[in-house]
Amino acid sequence: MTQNQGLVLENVVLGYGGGHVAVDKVSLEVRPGELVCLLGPSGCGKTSTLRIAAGLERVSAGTVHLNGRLVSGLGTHLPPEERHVGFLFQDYALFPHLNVLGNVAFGLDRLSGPEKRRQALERLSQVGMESYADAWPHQLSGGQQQRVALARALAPNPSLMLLDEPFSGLDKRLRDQVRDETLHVLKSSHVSTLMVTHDPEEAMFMADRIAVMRGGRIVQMDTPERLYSSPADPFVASFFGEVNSLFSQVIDGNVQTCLGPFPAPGFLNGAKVEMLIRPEGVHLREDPMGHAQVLASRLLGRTSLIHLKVERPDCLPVHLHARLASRALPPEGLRVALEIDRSQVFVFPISGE
Amino acid sequence: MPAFLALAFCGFAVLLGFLLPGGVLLAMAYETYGFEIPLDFLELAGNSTVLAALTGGLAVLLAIILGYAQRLHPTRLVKSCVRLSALGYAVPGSVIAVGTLVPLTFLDKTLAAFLDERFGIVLSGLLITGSIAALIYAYCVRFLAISVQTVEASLSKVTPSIEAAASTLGLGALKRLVRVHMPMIRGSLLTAALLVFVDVMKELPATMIMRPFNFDTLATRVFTLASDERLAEASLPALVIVAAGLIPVILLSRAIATSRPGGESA
Repeated sequence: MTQNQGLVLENVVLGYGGGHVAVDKVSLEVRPGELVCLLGPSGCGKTSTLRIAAGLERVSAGTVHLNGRLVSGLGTHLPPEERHVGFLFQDYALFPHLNVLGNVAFGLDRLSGPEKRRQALERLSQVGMESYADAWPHQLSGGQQQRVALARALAPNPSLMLLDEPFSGLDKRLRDQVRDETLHVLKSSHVSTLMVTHDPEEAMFMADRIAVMRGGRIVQMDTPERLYSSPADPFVASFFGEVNSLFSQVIDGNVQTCLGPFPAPGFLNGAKVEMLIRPEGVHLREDPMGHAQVLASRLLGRTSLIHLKVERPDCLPVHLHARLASRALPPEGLRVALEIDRSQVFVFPISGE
Repeated sequence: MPAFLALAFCGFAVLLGFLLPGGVLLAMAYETYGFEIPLDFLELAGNSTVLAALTGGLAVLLAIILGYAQRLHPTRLVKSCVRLSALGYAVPGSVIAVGTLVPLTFLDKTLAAFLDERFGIVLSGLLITGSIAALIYAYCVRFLAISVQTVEASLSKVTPSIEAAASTLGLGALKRLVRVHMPMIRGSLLTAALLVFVDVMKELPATMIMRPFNFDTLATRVFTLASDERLAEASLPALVIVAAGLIPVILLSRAIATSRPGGESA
C-alpha cells in the first residue's frame, strides 16, 4: 500500500481562455486525517481548487500529489475515476434512478453482491439512514439526501474526501445538526478532507485549518484561532466577523483616532492606515463624563450589540459597535467611557499606495 | 357555456380529423373484405413493423452515441457533425433515397470486385443495394434528426454534478453511459424510438425507390392500390398502418409512465 500522505497542491494554476485565471498559484497541503476548509467569497476559485483535486479540471500549471503520487501536472492527468476520492456535491447529485441502497453501493463494484450490500448498509447506518435503504432520492428531505450522499462518497473508503458547500442547501437549524453529524462521521473515518465554504462560522466549526481565498489566491492559511487573532489583512479580519473600521494616520508611532492613540509599530510617520476593532473588544463603563453615548441596544441571543456614537471636540464623530457577552442592555442616551482590548485591534496599511 | 364551446370545438376537430375518415375507411374495409383479413396483409404489417422497429432501435443507438460524444467533447467539430447528421429530416425521402443509392452502389461494386479478385466469387447481383439494410440506412439518414433531438434534450437531465459523482465513484465514460445516463433517460429513449417507428411506418418515397424486389410495406401497398383508384381495397392496409402505429404508442407510453424512478416497473 502507498503511504498515506494526504493531498499536496503546489503552485497550481487554472486558466480559462481569454486570460481569465480561476486559480492562481495555489499551494496547500491536507495532511492525513486533517480537515481543511477553503473559505472565500463566491468566485474566489475555491470550488475550482476542489475540482482540480478531484481531477474534474486539468491544471494549467503546477502539480497535485495524492498520497505521494503525482496525479496532475507535468503532463500527467489521472482521471477522476482512477483517483479514489470521495466527492460530496452542493446539490448532493444522488442518482434518481437508484434507491438509497443502490446509490450507496454504486461505488462498491469490486465487491460481491452480499458483501456490497453489507458494506453499503454499514455506511448508511453510520449516517443514521439504514431504515431508508429502500427509499428513492426524491422521497427524502434535503438533510436526508445530504447524509445519503455522504455515505455514498465514503462507502468506497476514499483516501481523500472533497466537500463542495455541503450544507448550503439546508435551512439554518437543520444545517447546524447535519454539520455536527458530518464532522463526527468524517473524523471517526480518519479521512483527509478538503471542504469548500463561503461561511466563516462553518469553516471555524469544521476545520482543523482554514485557507482563506480571494481572487484565485490563498490570502492566509492557518488554524481558526490564528486567523481570528492575527489576520493577515483587513479582508481576512472582516471575514471572521463584523469589525469596526477606522481610517486614520500614524503620527509618532501611534494611530491617531477619536478613541485615543493606538500604538502602531513599524509604520512610518504620516502613513495612512486602516484600523479594525472587533465589537467584542469594545468594553463600556458608565461614566457621565465619557465621550461615547449609547444610540441603541439590541439583544441578539447570547450577546447584545450596542450602537455607540463617539464625539470629541478635536475629531469627527465615529459610529462604533460593541458586542457584550453579558446580555446587558444599557439605556439609550447613556454616557459611557470606552476601554478597547488591544488584542482585538488590528492596524493595516491602506493598500494601493 | 365557454367550457361547452371549448369541448365542442375540440370534439369537432377529433370528429373531422380522426373519427370521420377512420369511420369511412372502416366501412369501406368491411364492405370489401368482411371480417376476413387476407393473410398477405399480415405479412405487409410484419414487414412494416420490423423495418420500423429496427430503424427505431438503430436511430436511438446512433443518437446516444452522437449525444454523448457531444457532451464529453463539446468542441465545434463534434457539434457541427451532430448538426450535420440531423440534416436529413429537411430533405425529401426520394432525394435521400437517390443520395444513398450512389454510395451504396459504389460500395457494392467495390465489394464485388474485391470478392471476385481475391476469392474468385462472382456475385449474381448487388449485395447491399436493394436490401433491407440499405432501406434502414436510408430511413436513418432521413429520421435521425428526431432521435438526436429527443436524446440530446433528455441528456441535460443528467446534471454535470451527477456525471462527476459517477466518475469520482470510479466509473469511466462508457460505464457511466450504461449505468447512469441510459437508465436516467430511459423514458426519452423509448419516446425517441417510438417517434422514429411511427415515421418509418408511414414513409413512402424512399421505400418505393429502395425496397428489395417483391418487398412491400403497408405504405407502398396503399399507394399502389390508391393510384389504381382501388380506394376500397386500400382502406384495410391504411387502417392497419394506423393500428400498427397505435399499438406500440399505447405500449410505449405505458412503459414511459412506469420508467420514472419509484414507478411500478422499478
